[in-house]
Amino acid sequence: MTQNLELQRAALADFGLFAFRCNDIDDLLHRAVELVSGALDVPLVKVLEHFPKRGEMLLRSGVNWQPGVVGHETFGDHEKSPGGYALRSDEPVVSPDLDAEDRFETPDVLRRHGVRSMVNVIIVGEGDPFGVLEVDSRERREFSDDDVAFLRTYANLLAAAIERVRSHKELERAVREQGVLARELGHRVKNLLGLVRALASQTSVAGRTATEYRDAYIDRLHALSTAEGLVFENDNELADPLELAHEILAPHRQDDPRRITIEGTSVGLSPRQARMFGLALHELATNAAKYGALSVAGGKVHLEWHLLDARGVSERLSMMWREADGPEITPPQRKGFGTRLLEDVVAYELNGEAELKYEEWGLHYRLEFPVDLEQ
Amino acid sequence: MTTIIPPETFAGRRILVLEDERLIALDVRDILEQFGCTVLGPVATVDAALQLIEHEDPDAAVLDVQLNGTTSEPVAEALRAKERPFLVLTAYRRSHLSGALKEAPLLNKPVDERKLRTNLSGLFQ
Repeated sequence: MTQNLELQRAALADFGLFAFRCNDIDDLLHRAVELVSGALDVPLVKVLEHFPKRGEMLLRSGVNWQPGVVGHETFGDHEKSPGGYALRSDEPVVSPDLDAEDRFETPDVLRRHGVRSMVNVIIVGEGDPFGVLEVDSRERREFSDDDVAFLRTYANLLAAAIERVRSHKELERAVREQGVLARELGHRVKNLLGLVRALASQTSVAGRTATEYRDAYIDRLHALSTAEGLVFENDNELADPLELAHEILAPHRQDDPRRITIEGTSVGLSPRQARMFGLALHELATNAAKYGALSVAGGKVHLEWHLLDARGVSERLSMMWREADGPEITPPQRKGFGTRLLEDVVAYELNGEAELKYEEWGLHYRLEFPVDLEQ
Repeated sequence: MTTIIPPETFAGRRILVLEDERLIALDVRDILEQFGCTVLGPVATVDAALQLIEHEDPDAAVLDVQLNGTTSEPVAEALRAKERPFLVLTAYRRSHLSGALKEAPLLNKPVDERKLRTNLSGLFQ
């Protein structure tokens, strides 16, 4: 008797030390079942892991089972199975004689191994229990109170060790993820600075005073940061063109919103799409205020977009900017950055098509590009 | 001390530009043209760049790394196979690069004209 207690105490000490150093759940469970087998002098020991969603318990680790059992055999988690019954019990479930057991049924795999007596103890978890620790004897055995107390202590130690390994893994994953995020953010910032530089160099200095250049540049930068801001505010990193249009065109609509009517559906634009959509609207409005419909009293703009029906996941967004009742216009002599942006950059970046038309009665701009509605 | 780079270093040099961000591509193109280079592209995809390498045989190249989810590594390999020098212009650090991209001179975004000039002339020495 004393010898048993000493064996059990030694097993607890050995396992405690092992668990402190171990960072792998399978190694941990394997060592656990080995030590229990020795300490209680029972041949068959196993750990059942509970999978609540599947309604199953998997024989995750064990000693002395026939080949093909450990890692494969599963049991239902209902109360008619020994494991399922133990999950629902606060106390260890002791069965000195399975032939006389009427609380649950004996699974085939236990009969095949000649199991006569068993004890099941729950392995708790931070949320749901991890599963059940089970010791099986081939002989009829009355497990003593000391044996049961030992098993309960052991199962709690095992539960703490499992939680430790799990949170360790979780922390490692979080640290890795943080690293990736930091790297992506760094990349994005540098790319944005590249765009900021490009906007500065592409904004023409020809025929402009320093003040005019500064204003033109800052206005473009503002359009870029409006788009970037909308993306940033949105948890899923998408921007709504409707919101974007209202924000970008606000300065031109503050006296009379009817000067630019906006009609379009909400849809998710990627950061890249949002930037281009925003920059395009900014160029159109600036141009209209200088030379087009918004440069005279009574001139109007109608902005609208809709989704084009297409089969499959990807659909296209078709946008139209129509100026009316403005001054007579003619195509510019020289293509400035604004024109290049509208015709080339935007279409290129959006993988779509853009068309600028200088109609006598006003400028027309059509833009069509694919949008991913699955995002 | 600034090193003086004679203008003829760049005159008529045909430089392939691979960059998928169009505004940045136009910026780099303008800078290279100011140096006196002839720009091939700018192109935005690996395929387009490989086509240009095969048919136009550029003297050198400026490569972005990340292209809409893919990387320019195959282009770097193709240039290396043809013994054409290139610069890498990226928002990434060297430790994030692999293959032929890792061995090339690296410039960080946003592009710095002076550094681009110095590094580019280094390719032709």
